[in-house]
Amino acid sequence: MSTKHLLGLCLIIWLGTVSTSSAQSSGTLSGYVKDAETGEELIGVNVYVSSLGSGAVTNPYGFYSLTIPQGTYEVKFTYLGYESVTKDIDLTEEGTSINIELSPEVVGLEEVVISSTRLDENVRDISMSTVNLNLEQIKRLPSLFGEPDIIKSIQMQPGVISAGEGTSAYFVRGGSSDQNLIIIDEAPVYDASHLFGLFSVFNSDVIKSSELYKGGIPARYGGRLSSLLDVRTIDGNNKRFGMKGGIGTLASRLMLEGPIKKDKASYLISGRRSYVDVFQRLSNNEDVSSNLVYFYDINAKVNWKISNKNRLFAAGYFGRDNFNFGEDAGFDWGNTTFTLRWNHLFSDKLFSNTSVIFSNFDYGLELKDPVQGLQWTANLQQAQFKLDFSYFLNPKNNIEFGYQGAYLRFSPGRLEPNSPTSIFTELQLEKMFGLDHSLYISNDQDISDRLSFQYGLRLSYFQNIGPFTFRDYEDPQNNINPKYEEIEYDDLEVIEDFFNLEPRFAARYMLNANSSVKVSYNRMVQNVHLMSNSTVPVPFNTWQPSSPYLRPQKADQIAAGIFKNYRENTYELSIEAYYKWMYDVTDFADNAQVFLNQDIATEFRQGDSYSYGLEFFLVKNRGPLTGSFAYTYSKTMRQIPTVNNDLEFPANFDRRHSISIVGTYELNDKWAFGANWVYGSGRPLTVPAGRYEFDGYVTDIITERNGYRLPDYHRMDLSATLTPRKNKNRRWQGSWVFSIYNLYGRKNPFTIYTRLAADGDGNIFQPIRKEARMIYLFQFLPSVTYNFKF
Amino acid sequence: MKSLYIRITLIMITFFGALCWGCEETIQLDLEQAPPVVVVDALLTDSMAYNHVRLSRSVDFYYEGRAPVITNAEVQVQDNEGNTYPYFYQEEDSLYRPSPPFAGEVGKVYTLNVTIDGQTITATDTLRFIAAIDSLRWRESESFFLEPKDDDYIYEVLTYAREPKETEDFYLFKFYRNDTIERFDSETGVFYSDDIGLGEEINDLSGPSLYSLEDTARFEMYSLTPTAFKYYFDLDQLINSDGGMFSGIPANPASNIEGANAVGFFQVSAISAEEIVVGDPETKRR
Repeated sequence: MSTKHLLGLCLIIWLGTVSTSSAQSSGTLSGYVKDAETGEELIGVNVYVSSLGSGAVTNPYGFYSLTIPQGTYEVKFTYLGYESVTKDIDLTEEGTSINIELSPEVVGLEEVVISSTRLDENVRDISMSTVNLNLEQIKRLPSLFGEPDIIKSIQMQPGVISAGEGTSAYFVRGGSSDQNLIIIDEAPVYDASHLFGLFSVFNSDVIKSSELYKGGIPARYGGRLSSLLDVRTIDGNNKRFGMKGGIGTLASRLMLEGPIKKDKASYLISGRRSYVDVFQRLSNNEDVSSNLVYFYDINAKVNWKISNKNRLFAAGYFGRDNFNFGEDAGFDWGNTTFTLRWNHLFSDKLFSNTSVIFSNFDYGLELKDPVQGLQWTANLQQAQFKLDFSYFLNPKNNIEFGYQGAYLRFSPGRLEPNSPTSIFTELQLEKMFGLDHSLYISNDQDISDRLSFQYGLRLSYFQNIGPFTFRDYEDPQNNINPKYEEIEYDDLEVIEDFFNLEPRFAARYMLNANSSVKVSYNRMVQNVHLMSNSTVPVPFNTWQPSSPYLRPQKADQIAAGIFKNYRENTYELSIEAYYKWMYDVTDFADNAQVFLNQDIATEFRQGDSYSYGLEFFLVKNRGPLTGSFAYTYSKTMRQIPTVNNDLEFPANFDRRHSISIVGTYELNDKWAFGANWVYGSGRPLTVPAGRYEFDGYVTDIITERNGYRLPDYHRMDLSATLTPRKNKNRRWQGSWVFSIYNLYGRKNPFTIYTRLAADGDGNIFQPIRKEARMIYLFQFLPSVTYNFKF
Repeated sequence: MKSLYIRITLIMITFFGALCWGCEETIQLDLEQAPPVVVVDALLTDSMAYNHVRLSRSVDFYYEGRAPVITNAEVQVQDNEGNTYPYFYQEEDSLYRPSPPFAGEVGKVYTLNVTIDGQTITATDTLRFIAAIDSLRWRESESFFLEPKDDDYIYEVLTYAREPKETEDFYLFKFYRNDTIERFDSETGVFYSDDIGLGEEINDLSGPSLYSLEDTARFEMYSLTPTAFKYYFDLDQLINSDGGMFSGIPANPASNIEGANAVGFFQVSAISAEEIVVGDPETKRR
């Protein structure tokens, strides 16, 4: 369907609905719903008026608004894991504002529920292809080095592929890892890895919700082709002081929260640090004690409820990795994000959120040496302004619209000699700038009891701007001896601009009370491109804006699925199929030089890609035994001009089959057990089709890109959580998590490379020949973590 | 500056390898093999001693012998002034050499023509100027990159040179210890550089190996064209690839060889070389 047609269709639906219920005299019921113990706003609470059979759901800021005919109603507020509250309300023309506090339920074993949202959300919600991660469950499942990590959990979801263990990159429905937008409190995180991906930047203690959108992405989100991971941190307890933390095998964390002014203002501060280096320092081996590695994270937030109409939040994240090799060499990288947010109610129907966001990613390398001494720094900065409105028109229509603008500054690298006798001179790779604007509007509309639509449109306008010395290449693909003329662009002068329309559509039809079918379509556009030609990016990869030599990447995705809940929502089943077309995906010439290249534009090779797949997901939500089973079949192919002789080839991360089985079992109130098993068929690999000798080097002959498959990946992990008997009078609650990663010690291939064949002592065979070596990472890795709460 | 990139890759592999929990083992791949191709390994310099062509065929990846040498080819080089130089096969070192011998000249363009059983292969490259190495010196190693493994091998050899900033230059470096080329333990070290980010004065720059007293240390510097530089860059990427996890996906180097089923490179360079004996008080770094 062309964009134009879809636009027309949206308009017709729009006009047909907006005026439906204005004649009746009605009033608006609105307010916030929060946790009675912590004051934390609750997302997704069901607000239901049974006599009307209609209701609303709280938004990501805990706000709800419901416009219904005037009258007296019984309104029920329900949320999973909380005691329901019923209120009698006399709704008049002026409207009624009610803030509700829900108390956490005291549950028996039989009642354990792992879903963090509404029971029947799987079936009822319009959105499909989304994953809501449950942190409480993640903490009980086995984890690498005992550190619960949402990215590692995402890698086990249907439709998501990981390239190998120990990496934080993930691949959603045929998209590469730079096609995932990761935002923490609305601020983008450009590299979510610690220790090259062993951990992610997300400290599990401070996360309130994390949701992954794989398809049917709402119009308010844009900027990446394949997925969006929306991570929101908790606001901090505004009732009383609290403390939470954990002591793990590799890292420890501590979080403090409390009221600044009771019920009005609260703070949260949290830190996490790895301490491999502490042990390294104690080592007698100089190689170990002088090579220090560590990372840390700091999350901080203050939250001030000025009035029912105005709320302010300020949140910051600061994290960094440091690698030191003796006194003389080291490198580091890190993210900094800052979000200032203002929620304002223009009326009880019009909710607004204004955000000012700053985000920075940078890395540096340093070598202290009189001769080869140098310092290398690169960064990417983004300042963003967002204005989002929710207009709760009536119970059948919920309109969202807004504007987002961002200023991006890419500094691909600066080299400075750090000794007067260094062989290096100062060098600054040309900085690049971009302005990114988007406008969006969307409506969630209930057409009937059974049929609901979500449709919207996003307009994105991206400008690649000066100052810039543009190299106008004679042949933009000549990466050997590029010839060009330079053109100067002034501050803010537009070098090239890109305008795109992104239609979004989703529909849900209820087949009966516990099953539905859903379809969705979305177009996505991406104007930032990662300069990486490897399978898994490293923190030293930089980004570039769309520019005359780098067209925006685009994707169209259609998805359809069947959703069914069984036994009073105890079991959730979803089966989804998708097909995705990707245009102008950014790839690179063979052997591209992506690091320190002033003519990197000549390495760009953009082409097309497609992906399709089937995802089967079964979840058991309640009872002592909970868990899930996921199976994904997917296929992703790319065709990039000049690469692989112009022939289609499988994408680097094209794992065809993946399975993950996850389970937790609550034995009694002392012991709980967790287990998971994952399987993935082999990822593609480029292997030699022969070898030859050149000037003493023994070189492979490559005939086909990604024509071979690594061995299958599979692994089982176990965990046990011990919660010592609770003393009702003590506020301190502690628990031990014991876990074993890769229980049966499978040697899972990380990668395979070739080298000169050598015997066990490393002596190269004569006459010279070659061999393939498989690298594998973790075999049977036990860990212990102690978690506490005060 | 390419060296910097290589070091980062090395550090990362070290991180996952030694420092972390990674292990590795040899595995057998079930590979489909391409039919053999002709391998051209040709060097023409402004020195008569460095002017030869080696022709061989590629073999299966797991083949246990050496690659077979091609002995029956017709080889000649032509310059851009129309001079033709015939090459003849020499049994003793399996190389084709020009007879009569000749040396290349700066600024000239040379074309290699090879005919093997009716198949023709050509390649063209230009001889670019190179600034002479000033000198070499030796001293007990202070380098960050060299770690002594043997009590005798503790000396490093330092290079002194000037990098002309008025021209865009590309280099290939070769290091020898007593006539043996040094390419790190894995035999895959490729040493090449462009001049981006390099200052004019190159002083105290040490090579990839350590020496003992009485060793002869030789350092050779070759001028490269951008095409040759790209070839060595690509070759380095390929032979030091980790299989495409953190490094790029393995791919054949971009070459100047034209003709079906042929790989390799025809390199035309000016050469600058120096040699010292480690322990010689005359050349000791003070």
